[in-house]
Amino acid sequence: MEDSASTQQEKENQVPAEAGQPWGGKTAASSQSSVPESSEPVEAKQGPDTRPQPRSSSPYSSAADPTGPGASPSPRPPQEPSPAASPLAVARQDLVIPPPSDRTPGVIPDARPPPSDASEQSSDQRESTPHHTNQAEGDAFQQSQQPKPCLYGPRDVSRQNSKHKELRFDIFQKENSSSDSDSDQPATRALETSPSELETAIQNAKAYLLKTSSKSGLNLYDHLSNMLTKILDERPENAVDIIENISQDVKMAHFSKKLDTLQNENEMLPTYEIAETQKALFLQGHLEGVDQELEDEIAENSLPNVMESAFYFEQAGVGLGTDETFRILLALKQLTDTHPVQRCRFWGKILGLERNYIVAEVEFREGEDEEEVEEEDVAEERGERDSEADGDQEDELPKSFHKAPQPVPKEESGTGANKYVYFVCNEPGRPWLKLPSVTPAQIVIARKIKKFFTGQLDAPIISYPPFPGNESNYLRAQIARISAGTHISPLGFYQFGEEEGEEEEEVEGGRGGFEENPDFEGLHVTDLVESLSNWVHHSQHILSQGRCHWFNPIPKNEEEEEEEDEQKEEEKVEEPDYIEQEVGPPLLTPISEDLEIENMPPWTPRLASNLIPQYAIAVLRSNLWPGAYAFSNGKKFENLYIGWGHKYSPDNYTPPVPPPVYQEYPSRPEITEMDDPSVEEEQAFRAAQEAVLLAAENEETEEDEDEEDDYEE
Amino acid sequence: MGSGKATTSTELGWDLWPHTVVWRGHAGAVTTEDLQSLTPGRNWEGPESARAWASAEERWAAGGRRPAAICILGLVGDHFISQGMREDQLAPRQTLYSLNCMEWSLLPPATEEMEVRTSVVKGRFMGDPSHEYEHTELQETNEGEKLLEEVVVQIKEETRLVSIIDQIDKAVAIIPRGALFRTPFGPTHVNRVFEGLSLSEAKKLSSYFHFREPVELKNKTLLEKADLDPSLDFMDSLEHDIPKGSWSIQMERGNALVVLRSLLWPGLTFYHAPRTKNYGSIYVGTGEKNMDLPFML
Repeated sequence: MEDSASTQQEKENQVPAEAGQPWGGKTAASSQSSVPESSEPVEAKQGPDTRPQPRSSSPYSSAADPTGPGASPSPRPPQEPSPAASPLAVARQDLVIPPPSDRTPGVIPDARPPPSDASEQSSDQRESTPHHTNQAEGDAFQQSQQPKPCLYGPRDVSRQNSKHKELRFDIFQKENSSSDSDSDQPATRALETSPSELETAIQNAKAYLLKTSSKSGLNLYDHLSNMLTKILDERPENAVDIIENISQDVKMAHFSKKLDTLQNENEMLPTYEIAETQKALFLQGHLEGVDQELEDEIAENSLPNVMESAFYFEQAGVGLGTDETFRILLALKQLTDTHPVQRCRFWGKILGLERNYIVAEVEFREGEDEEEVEEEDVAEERGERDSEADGDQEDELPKSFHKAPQPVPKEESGTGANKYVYFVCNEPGRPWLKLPSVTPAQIVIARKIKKFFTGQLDAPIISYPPFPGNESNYLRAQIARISAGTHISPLGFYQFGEEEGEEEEEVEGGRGGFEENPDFEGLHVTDLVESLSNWVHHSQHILSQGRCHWFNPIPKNEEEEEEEDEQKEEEKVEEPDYIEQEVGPPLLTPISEDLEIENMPPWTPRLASNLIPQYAIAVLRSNLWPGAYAFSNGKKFENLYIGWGHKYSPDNYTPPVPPPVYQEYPSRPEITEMDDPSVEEEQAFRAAQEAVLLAAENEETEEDEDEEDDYEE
Repeated sequence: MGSGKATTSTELGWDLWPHTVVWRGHAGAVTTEDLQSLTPGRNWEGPESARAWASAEERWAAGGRRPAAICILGLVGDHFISQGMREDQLAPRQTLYSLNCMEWSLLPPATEEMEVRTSVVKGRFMGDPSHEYEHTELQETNEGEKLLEEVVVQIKEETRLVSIIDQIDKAVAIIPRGALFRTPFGPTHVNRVFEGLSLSEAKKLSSYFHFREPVELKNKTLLEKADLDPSLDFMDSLEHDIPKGSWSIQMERGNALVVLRSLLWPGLTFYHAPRTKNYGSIYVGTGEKNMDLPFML
């Protein structure tokens, strides 16, 4: 009872608020016509809900009577049963329905004040019931009601009381019903008696609640059920106190983004990735399975002291910075540890559009580069197979008379342009990739094109003339060209090997054509700066053929010609008997003999410091290959290239003109088109023909005559 | 060499903001060595000259927060160029040049006529401002007869230098979006709340602007300009540079640094550390435009 009282009070608080206005309106205007009108629509709406209920309620209320504490014999107002019965019948709807049903009793009495509309039956009924309840139950609650009516003044007290009692009665009824529910029979009976009506009522209520708001697109039904779900899930303390907040939370939850269940795994951050790969560099220990001695042997020669050269280059204002240089050094160490390297050098860095290349120049120990040979064999075999396959397919097709010129064979690894093997990687710590050895054709074409590197070795080179290979081949060709042009050393640092001596040029494939001069005493730095003749090239010039060593294509051709007699003559006609041998400058030629680039010196020498010339170093900057540098402190020297990998040209690049169109067949009179004869010519021709015919006829006639004559004779 | 002209910044009327040189002003983020590693070839004349250069710049203590430095490699010597900006970042700059980073001389402002006149000169700089290039051109004399006569025109390297610097500035001087803002009254100021580009923005060319008065922006349609913020997007972005692909954009050190290299003016390197206000650029090159670019892409 007390619980109900407390809830009652809350209701009371609401009811006066609702009721207040109508009451006030009545007192002020004293015209009830307006108020009922306004309330009637509500009634009309709720009509189906409320009006049928009295009938259904009657059995129920009668059943409830005995149990009710002070229930009057008179039938309960129609609204009661629905709240009472529904909790039992339909769990959820019940919880939702009470508000409207609670409202109706509130509204109806308001709309129809008892004194004025006493004549009306329905109002009578309704009026009467409250009064009954007043008398019956009011006593229990008088105390709580009394103070409030006071606010409205004595006149209103009765009405107020009646109102409150009505409400109170509702709750009593609820209690009754709950107590009834113990027995269950009345409730079930109620359901049985009018299931369809109850259902329609419930469905109507539900339909109303399900109406979506035009503003938010939500509906109250879902909202309340969500709220209750939330409350029941979380079971907060004093749920009733925070119900507003819960409602708010539930509404706000609509705006929080629902995370997709299919989420990407955390991507490996590039920073982390590079750190992980470079971590391996810093953790390099002793490699397993390598003999200690062997390792020592490797360590002795192969690894270059990159940091020392970087120190000198930094004085020249060239370099990659200590941090990156050290990482490169570690990467080089990794390279030398994992490959049988005789000698290794940091060649430089080539910039690309997307990534850059770090290039290492490597010389394998003798007999250890078989791997490459095998690869080549495979490649050649493949080539043969391809050609065979092509032959089979093209049997039926007419054969082209064009015979491609004999490709200039590439130089063996360890000689000429392929003296060194080059490894590249995009960043220190990433795997080193070996560049394929260069072919003369690639060098020849590379000279004719000018393309940026992308940073991906397998990128195609789209150019004219078409480049035979992808970016790795182009990169290798450019490296070969740069090396040949810019690798210089102080005069006397290298000397020709004793065996070959000055015949170096003629000896083909002479490995180790030069060697370090043990007696080299060093040059003075100022001499190195002042005279370029104190610097020499120690890498071989690449001939325009694309090789360092001249290859004469003719002798081989002759051999082939013997096999194919038919083509022999033609070829002899086409090709000159003797091709002038290309001769490049010999090894260790002073750079002072380098060709000028249109009145531009190919090298710019400089002293690194003008303030302290005592300890300065000589620095040479290549103007032919911007980005190529060399330094020497008199005894030591180093070459470095950092740039885009392009040769300098004062003129703008112009792609070569396509070659002239080949002649398809020899031009002879039978295929040359003649001019149409003019009219005069035709007439003359006709006249001539006619003349001939006439002559012939005359002759014939003469002969005939003769014959005739003969016969005659 | 009028080195006396550039003694103090007050004489020149530059504001005295905290001085920044590329490799010193951004201590902690990008060091000398970093830039060195980013710039192909040499950056400056070794530590000695770098220090001298920096000290010289300190001496005249000019410049806004935009670090601008140019070094043009000549055959004999190199030109070092340092620029100072007024508070309005887009106002004409004062340009000083030097051969040894100690004695600085003021360069005259570039004119269009200068550009036309020097455009005939090809080849490398010598490194001597008084060097005169000779150029023979055919000029018409005797209007009626149209006789062509060879006239030798002499062009001073200093003039060419001014013109080239102006071209470089206009073509490839860039800043990240948001580093500068335009006030409603016109002048452009350094945005002190610029906190750097985000990582995804830093990878896009559209986040970088040409550091010059807009040219292309005026030709854009209203629709294209609809999304632009007039206080930030008041310059041309690199996105529509011609030819397409005239910039190489690379992430270095695992996305810790973004580096833009101009392919049209090889030698210009711009760096920006994403999510920091550190950015800057330097030009170290031969002072020649890459006319072969369309063939090379």
